[in-house]
Amino acid sequence: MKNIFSNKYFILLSRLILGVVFIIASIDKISIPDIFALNVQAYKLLPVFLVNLAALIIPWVELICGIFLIGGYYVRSSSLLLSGLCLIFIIALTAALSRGLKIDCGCFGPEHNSPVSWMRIIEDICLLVLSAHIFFYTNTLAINEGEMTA
Amino acid sequence: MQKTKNKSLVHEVGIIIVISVFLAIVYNVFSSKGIPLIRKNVIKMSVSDSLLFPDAIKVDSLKLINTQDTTILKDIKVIAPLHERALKNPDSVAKLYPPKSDPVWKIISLEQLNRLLAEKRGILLDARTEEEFKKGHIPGAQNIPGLEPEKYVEQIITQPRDTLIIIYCNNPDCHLAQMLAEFLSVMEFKNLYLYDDGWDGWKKAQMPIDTSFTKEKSR
Repeated sequence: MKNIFSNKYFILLSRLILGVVFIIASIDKISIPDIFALNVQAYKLLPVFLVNLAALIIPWVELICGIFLIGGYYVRSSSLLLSGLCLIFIIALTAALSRGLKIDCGCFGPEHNSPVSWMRIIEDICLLVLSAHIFFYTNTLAINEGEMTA
Repeated sequence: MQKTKNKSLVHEVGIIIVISVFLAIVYNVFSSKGIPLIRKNVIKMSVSDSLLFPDAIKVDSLKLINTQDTTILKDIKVIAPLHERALKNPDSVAKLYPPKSDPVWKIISLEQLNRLLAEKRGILLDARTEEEFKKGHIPGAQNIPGLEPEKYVEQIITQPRDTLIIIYCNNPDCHLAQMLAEFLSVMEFKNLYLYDDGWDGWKKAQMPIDTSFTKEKSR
């Protein structure tokens, strides 16, 4: 079983999927930050003065990590960061759902309106699994020697 | 070995965060859609009836959007910008106004909205998407989606800037009404109100729903 998970093509596939998803997710958020900021604010989890900073920085972390995952640089740390983001998103979505907030998810930026729902949480859990897979099965040494960038 | 690994991992994470923060700030500075790094608190304030329906004030001129029903309104002038007057009135909620730099949105209740609609004062704007608007809206509302108000600007651009405008979207957590209000205040409309309970509140109160939709209707 371990062999399948640590198969380098399987890991490469995970990296490509995760990278593409997060790059796509980040583009709209970066291009229209004011709407993403409103999305973030609607979750009512952050103090207002931090909302814009989070709305500006989170998409860039997504973009950079996505690019690194596809490019094969800093793969473990990128997947670790994205796991962290997924975890934050899952918590935020769950909090919003449990409080009955009828808000836009903001998951893929403002151009893709989709209300907060369990489906969004399941999506984020899938992404979390993917990034955890990359994190735990990527051989750090191999990465450093550039073997996994194939 | 494990320690070195963890150390380099933390180091890499740090590098990624630094790059992201740096790019985020640089891009934000040079982007035409940049936003302030520190967000200001948006303050929603309910409006008292005495402000919204200043029956006591008698003036000659009459400014109404729709003058069909002037019997009740003969003596009333809709004074704008409302908050200038509020500031002069020590008894009003003006005292609660924070410094000018903080955006303040004036919120009206369902009762106040109904009264304004009955008196045919002002324009009612639906800030939701065209799709949602087509499914149903408050009778008499025009659709100007908060996400792309510039496309619908000709509906409103000819109106006097002191026109009373009521904006709604879905509910208090919906941001579209605020976006439209921001857009309109940039256009120097000063007499803006949000019906904060929005479409959800309207439906919950089982008020009449209009499902008709024509481009012409939204003027």
